[in-house]
Amino acid sequence: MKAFLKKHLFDGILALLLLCSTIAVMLYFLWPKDSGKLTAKVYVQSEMVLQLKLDELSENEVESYPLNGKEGEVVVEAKYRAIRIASSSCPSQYCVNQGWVSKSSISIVCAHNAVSIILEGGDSNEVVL
Amino acid sequence: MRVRRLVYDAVFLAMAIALGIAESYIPNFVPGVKLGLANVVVLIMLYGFGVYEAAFVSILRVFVVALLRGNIFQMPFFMSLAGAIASLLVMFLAKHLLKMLTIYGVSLLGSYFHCLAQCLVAVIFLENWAIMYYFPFMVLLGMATGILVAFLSERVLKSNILPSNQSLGAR
Repeated sequence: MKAFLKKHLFDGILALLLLCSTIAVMLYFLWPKDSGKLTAKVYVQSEMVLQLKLDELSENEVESYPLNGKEGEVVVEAKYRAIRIASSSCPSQYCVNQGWVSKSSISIVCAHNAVSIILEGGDSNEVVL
Repeated sequence: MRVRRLVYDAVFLAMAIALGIAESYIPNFVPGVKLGLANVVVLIMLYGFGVYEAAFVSILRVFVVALLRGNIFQMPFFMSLAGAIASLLVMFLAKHLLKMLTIYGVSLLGSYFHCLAQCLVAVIFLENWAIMYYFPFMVLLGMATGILVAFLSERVLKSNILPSNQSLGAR
């Protein structure tokens, strides 16, 4: 055991350094940046095509927004304080499987169609991991 | 001798391609994170033969797998290519400059920079930074697969089934 630890000491130090840098990146991107109304910004590539104030939507209704993504149609659905990609023409469907998101600093990305949804604002002070 | 080296390179390339295609059928739960079994071959080539052989396998594998999947010169292809080049470059430098690291440390660095390069290419294609939300999750799982890749590579290298570099002759 001692020999194993001695042999892999620097590997362990490297792993810890990489983990720390990863956590730092995680905190930078997930740390709530501002308060105010929870807003979803929807981009197709670099162009913002939709901006929704999720706090002002109806609690009982779900609104649909079909978008023309880079490779096909993407349908975004929004309700009170939550948003999701309901359907996408991408083969992997990671974006659809991510489901409803409602916390600030979280993103949903459909890389195939170059559609990104970024949530900002909200009153939450917690970091979402 | 050169023919023998070429044959070994071709066989390992074929193995890397087969592994790359096979692992695409294994479901992955975090976007962009695969087992990276093809990297076992790259690591074996790097430690067993040299950086030229590893580059031959790593880069050609990306081209052939993209051709077979039908997504060559699209975003996934460029992400794979960037990841392959970045990880090989970092692993080569780490192997020669950071001699205190074992194959596990080198593989960890390779997987980290593989994920980083893929995310940066995605940022360029998507023209926004939203994809970086997935980076920490990719790296955490990528580091686990990096350890697995190093373990498998080490087993093959220790089994003495590979010919020595000298026996294959000059390039």
